[in-house]
Amino acid sequence: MSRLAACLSLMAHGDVDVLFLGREANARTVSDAGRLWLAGTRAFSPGCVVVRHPAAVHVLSNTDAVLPHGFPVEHLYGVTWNPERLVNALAAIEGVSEAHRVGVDGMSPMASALVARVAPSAEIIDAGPMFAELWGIPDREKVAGVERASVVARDGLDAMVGALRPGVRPRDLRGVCAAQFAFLGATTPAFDAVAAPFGDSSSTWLPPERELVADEQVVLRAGVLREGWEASLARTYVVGSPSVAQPPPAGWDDLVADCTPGATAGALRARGAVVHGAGRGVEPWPDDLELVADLMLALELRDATSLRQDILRITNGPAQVVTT
Amino acid sequence: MTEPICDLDLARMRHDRIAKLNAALDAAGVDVLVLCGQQNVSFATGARAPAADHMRASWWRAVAVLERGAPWPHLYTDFPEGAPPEIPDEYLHRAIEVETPAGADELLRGLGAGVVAIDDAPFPLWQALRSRSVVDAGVVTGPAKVTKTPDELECIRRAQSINETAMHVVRPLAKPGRLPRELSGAFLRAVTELVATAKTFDPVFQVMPRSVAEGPYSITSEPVFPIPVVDEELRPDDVLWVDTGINLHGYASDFGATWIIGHEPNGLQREQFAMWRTVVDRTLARVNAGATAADLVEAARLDDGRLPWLSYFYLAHGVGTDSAEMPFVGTDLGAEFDASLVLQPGMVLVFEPVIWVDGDAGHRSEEIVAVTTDGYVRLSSPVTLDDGGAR
Repeated sequence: MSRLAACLSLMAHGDVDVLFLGREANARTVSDAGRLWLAGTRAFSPGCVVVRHPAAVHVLSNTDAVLPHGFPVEHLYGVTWNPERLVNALAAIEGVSEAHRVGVDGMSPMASALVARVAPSAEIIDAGPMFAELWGIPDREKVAGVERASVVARDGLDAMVGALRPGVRPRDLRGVCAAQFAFLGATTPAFDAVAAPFGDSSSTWLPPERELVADEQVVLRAGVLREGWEASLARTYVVGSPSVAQPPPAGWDDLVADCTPGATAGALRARGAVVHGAGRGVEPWPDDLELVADLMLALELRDATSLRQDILRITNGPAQVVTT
Repeated sequence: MTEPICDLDLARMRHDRIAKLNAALDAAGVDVLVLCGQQNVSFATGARAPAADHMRASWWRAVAVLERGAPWPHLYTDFPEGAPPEIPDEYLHRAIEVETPAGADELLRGLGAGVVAIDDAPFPLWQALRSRSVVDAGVVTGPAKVTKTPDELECIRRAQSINETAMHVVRPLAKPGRLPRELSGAFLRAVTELVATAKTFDPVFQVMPRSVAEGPYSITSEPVFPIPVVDEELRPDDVLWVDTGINLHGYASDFGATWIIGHEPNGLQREQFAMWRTVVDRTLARVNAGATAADLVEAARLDDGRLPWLSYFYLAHGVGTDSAEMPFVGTDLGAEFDASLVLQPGMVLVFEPVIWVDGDAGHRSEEIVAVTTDGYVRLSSPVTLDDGGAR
């Protein structure tokens, strides 16, 4: 079943008539749109609409060039700065104005007024739990997409490792990673590549401006969006000539070994792991999400000496680490 | 090259921005400002956060809460090393996961009494706020952000200067046989060699069709722009529209130009640029405090009455902590909106008219100025034409 079909099925189950989606990963999930990548958050606005009856996905775009071949151009609605025009465009989508339950993935006072005009009799509900269910459904396209992205993420990190030596600036490593991603065909990151000192007081997400020095312990992180699929990894090194990879944190192998069907995200988190899914971006799995074969898991663990993050493909046997 | 606006003082800039927000809170009658949008958090606090894809940025978002009259906003962040050095300890907190009901309730419990303004709410936070009187944060952030202090203008100018320098590195690579993504990689690498910066958007290197009918499909029957890079080699005679940006101290740059691949601009392309230059110069002549956006629209209008920009964009937009923000000039908000928008000193205008001659493609470049009492100062280098197109 396609992601859109699965989404429509969940909408039917939850008696949701329409989804207004503002988050790009959610829009990518249901439409496979490849719109221009923008960093960071943005205020909620319906950039993608899913209608249950008649079943359809509508996308904010002036062209079908950013959508899969065959996407019906009559399901595009145009870029506008004018709220009145957006209201009219959304209300003109068949099945929207008479909706009685509308799911959204964010909200703002301005958007709330807009949605109330577009679907005046609708109850507005959180689309989050529905997406959480969607993320628990195995998806072979996702497996393939995240695996392809993993190759690029791994190569980006390797390029950083090749340049990691005393005197290098973290921002130079970021540039090396971005250039390697682009060489491999991906100009969009999951996040700006990081080389950050490993320590208690920092997040290991924001690199300092200074040069790295010999024997310093650093975390390298690389993450990419390749064709809209996300993969990321992180490793710890001691800076030198050459730099030396650190062993994974204590308990890493056991943790990976326990990433098998039936384990829950919450149980892994209880062991200190950072856990989410990897798909059309980060999938913020709820604690009760249960692993099944073909889910793609981003797993991170740290101890006093090392931090490691990988993407794992869950199988009916041991999980496969796909970012090695 | 552009001239410095002032000696940049980041602490002074942050102090001034908090003062502007407090003044806007007073004017709007808002008691508590809750900011979840990362550009707004950056504006209110100066805090840095990793540049990340939308969903990741949302779940690991920093939140700022400013109570009217307070000297600092409270900053809740997973990235304490990105907090400004002068923020008092009592205003720096661990992150609150406002994407979850528990986190939303936790934030709500700490909010002061009165009217709340919020910019962007994860749905659990929106639900938690139902018991409160809530207005859109635009009534506060809009007035605070629309005019810039000299330090803010200097950040934009420096960001733009770095952006231009990086594009000078990239431009010699824009040759037949090269892939647009190679230009993207070279740009991203050049930028990081020049400055510690965060990515703002995917660099655009788009080969334009000669005519709209050649495609891609356009919902408005105009040229479609921007589209992410396509994996096809550049060819001689290609008309390449480029658009890149960087982030410096939280401020965005915006570089737009038209490059001609493999040969010098021909006569038609020179004419298109000359028309673009004329439109911008005529419009710049009208830029000063007190002029309206409608005045600029009329100044830019072509002799045959047409408005020379893409109808789904604008003649000009502002730039600041967002790469496109108020003031907007010539949008589909319409003539009445333009007539109501009065230019003030400290507003920033990014002019991006488009001269399109269907059948011969067209010219699009960008030029940035800041409004002064009697005119403007440049924040980007003036666009000129040379043997490779605009620069």
